[in-house]
Amino acid sequence: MGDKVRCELCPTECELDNYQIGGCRTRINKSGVLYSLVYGKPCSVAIDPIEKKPFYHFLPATAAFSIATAGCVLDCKFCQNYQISQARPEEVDHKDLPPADVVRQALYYGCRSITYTYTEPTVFYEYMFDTAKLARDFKLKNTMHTCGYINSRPLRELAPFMDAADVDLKAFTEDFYSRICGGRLRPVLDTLVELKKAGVWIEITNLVIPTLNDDIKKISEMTAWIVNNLGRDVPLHFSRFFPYYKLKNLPPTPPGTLSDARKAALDSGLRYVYIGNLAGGGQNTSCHKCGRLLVERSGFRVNQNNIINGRCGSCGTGIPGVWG
Amino acid sequence: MGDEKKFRALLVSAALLIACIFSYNIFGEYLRADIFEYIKRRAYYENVLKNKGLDLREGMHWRKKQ
Repeated sequence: MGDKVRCELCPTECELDNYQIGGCRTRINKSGVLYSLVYGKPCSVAIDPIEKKPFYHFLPATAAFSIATAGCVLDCKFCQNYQISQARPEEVDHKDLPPADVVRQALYYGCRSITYTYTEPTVFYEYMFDTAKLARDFKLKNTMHTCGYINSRPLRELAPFMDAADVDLKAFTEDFYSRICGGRLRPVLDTLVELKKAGVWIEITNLVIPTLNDDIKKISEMTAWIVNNLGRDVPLHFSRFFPYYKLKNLPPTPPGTLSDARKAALDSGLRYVYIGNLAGGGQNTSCHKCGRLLVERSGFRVNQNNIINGRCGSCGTGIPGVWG
Repeated sequence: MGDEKKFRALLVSAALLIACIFSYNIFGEYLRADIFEYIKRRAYYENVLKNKGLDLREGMHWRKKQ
């Protein structure tokens, strides 16, 4: 029935028969050649505040031109965008938006960056790669919100064009990744280390789900791993879970659990730990040296920013991140 | 053709027929499944994907033929 092809983009490495589509729903083997079905066909296009990704240490209060195609390399039972991430490209409406048009529109709307987000950008790797390359020529930054489930070769090739990545570290156990997400933890950790090595600015998001990954001991293990392998300056966002998709049976994360997780992360040595998806505290940035308020946020809005040329406006300490 | 030749031809044909029946019984299920799956996949591509305006773009790297 023709040549088989092994896709080497993500760690699942689907082996595809002729005309078979990969688990990500976006790559097809046609007569022994692997093709992308979603190049230049985003199903979601929007202009978002960069804080929504979330990036708190990357060009605060700027607009990010955000794109996504259908498909995902994982199958998380709590996915907030399952309508597009778990859909086939032919099942959702898409626009024709080649890389040149993405860049043109991002410039037209005054965006400082292009973000590959909403679904898993690995599934539209070629589209992201070409767009990121082109965006660089026009002084636009490139960022992605990713689950980090990508093989090291494609990641190494992409990293020189990527300025920042927000990586979902969904839990710190292989069991959670296999039962809840249909993947593995190890490749995600490898991706984080690889991104750090490549000089890409990293922020990490951890969605805290009651009974599944809210064990403080495990959270402490995770934050200790971050400190030891990525350093103390990586911002960590603990995000509140709300019942959704296949996990409607679980309650929202109690605010106390998020505070405990934040405390555990700070105790591990992390300097910038935030709480997301919850009105109230845990969103502001303070100087790790003098403790003065640097960036005050409410929701996705920045109320004040006291970082001057990447330094604390009060004591002059360098604040890790990309600020200008 | 003499009787002996006729008999030999009949013997060979019978042996071939038996081999074919045996093979079909052993491998038929796999072959049929393979062919039907292939036809289904191809029909889906031709009738659905092609009509949805999803142009194919060759994967950039990491292609490895088995």
